Amino acid sequence: MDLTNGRNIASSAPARVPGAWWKYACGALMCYVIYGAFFIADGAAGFGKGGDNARAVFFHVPSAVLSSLCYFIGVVYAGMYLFSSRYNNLETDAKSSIAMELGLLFCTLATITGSIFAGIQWGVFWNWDPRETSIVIMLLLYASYVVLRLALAGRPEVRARLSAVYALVAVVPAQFLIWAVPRLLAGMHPTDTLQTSSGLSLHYKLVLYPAFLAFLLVFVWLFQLRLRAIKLVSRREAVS
Amino acid sequence: MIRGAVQPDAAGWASQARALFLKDVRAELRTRVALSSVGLFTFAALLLIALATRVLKETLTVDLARLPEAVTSEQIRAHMLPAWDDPGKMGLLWVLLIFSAFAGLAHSFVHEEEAGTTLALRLSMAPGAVYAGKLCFNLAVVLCVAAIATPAYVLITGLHTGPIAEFLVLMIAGCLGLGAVATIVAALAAKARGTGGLFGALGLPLLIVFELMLLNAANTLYGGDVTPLQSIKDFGGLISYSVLLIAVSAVTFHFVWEE
Amino acid sequence: MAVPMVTWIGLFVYAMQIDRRLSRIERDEKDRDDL
Repeated sequence: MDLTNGRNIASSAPARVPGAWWKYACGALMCYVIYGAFFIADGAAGFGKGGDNARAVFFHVPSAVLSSLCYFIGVVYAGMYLFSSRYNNLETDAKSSIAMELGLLFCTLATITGSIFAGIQWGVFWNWDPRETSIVIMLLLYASYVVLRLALAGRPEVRARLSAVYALVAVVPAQFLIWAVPRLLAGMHPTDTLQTSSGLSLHYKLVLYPAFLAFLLVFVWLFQLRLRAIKLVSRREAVS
Repeated sequence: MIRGAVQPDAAGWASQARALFLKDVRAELRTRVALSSVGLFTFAALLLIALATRVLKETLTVDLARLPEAVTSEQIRAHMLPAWDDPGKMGLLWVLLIFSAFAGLAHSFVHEEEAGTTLALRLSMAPGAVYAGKLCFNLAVVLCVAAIATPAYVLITGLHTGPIAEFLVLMIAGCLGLGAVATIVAALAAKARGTGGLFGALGLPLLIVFELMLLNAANTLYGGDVTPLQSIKDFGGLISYSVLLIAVSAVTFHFVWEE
Repeated sequence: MAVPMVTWIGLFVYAMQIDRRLSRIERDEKDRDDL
């Protein structure tokens, strides 16, 4: 559909944003989640200070879950880049790299919200609890990936290969961090405060589930933005 | 990409790996680059630790929760424990070993780049064999360092080893993980032509996780009454980490190694 | 609630701006290709 009515290139009319509907929906949904975190969900039993700090959970848990998901996606694209001849191109590498960068972002968010939660709940902002330690190490892993890519900035092919290998090799510590370490080491992390014997309270579900969806939509949007930007830059470079 | 003329079959692969390992050993014994940097570092670090912890070693502490309400000096004395406990000493030992390994192994793939023998290596050997040979050499280096540093450390700090068999399993499993991480990270860093800083930056997160599990297993060692199941879980976790890491490294190594 | 809400709305608007600008560049590139 030609929005410019045949006008020439340097038109100043705004172009249509692809998928605007779900992006606006995401914006509205997140507003609802923020509102709901403070006004809809009751404080949870078992949390201190009248359960107010449990509201940080609505942002902390989706961030943490999403950061693991990002790593998984990054690793899948890395594996595809290395082992599949069909996907052995720089676009797959770009997707892997974007996923890891967003993983870094969400991991940072999870660390910060977790720290806020700990500060309100136990009065101390950092405890070196196993899960807290795990998430910091996860941050380091993402950061190392970014450092490796920076060190190889001028050599795209080698960068793609080496960072894919690093992502795959780092799966071992990442999986141990996510699954084994919290179970091996007893910690203060509340594991079942969200689940009472009768299941999650309805009010909690009303805010938590949309929160997951909202964060997921944010991830998809940011992923798409980064990918488009990278594609445009590489097009410009290919042309010039 | 220049393909090697050698087709790797099982027997040829292993003997290639052994050949590379022996070549590295001979080169190392001749030039003593890794051994000297590691040896110097380890010696200096042990000396520093001995000096720095002189007072800490003698310090005693008491757990107030265990004391009755009204205490006498004798009761306090009876309850005093060393401030620097065995898990803490074990932790510091592994910090020492990790940095020693870094000093020695960071350049395990850089030598070839400098000596210009990489091409010859690439032509004559399958990547898997190169990885196996380098891994064995690095493991040997780590084990040698541990074998020398650990008794010295025990003497200096008075670390209690607990049950000897489990202690040995712990140390060997630790060296295995250390060598495995160092090998693949050295390959990546060498290919990236990064400085030594890149090796550290890449290897550290991988090692921290390993160290966490190592220290957890060490706690088991000193725990006193520990079920065999718990020991198996802890040591099994350590060894499975190393094994998995080696497996992934072996599969992806040729992507690092090829031009 | 005000702080997270304002922060989020600010970020949302910013992201939308970036999206629009990207779309405009993409549209320009596409027009250039079509010519």
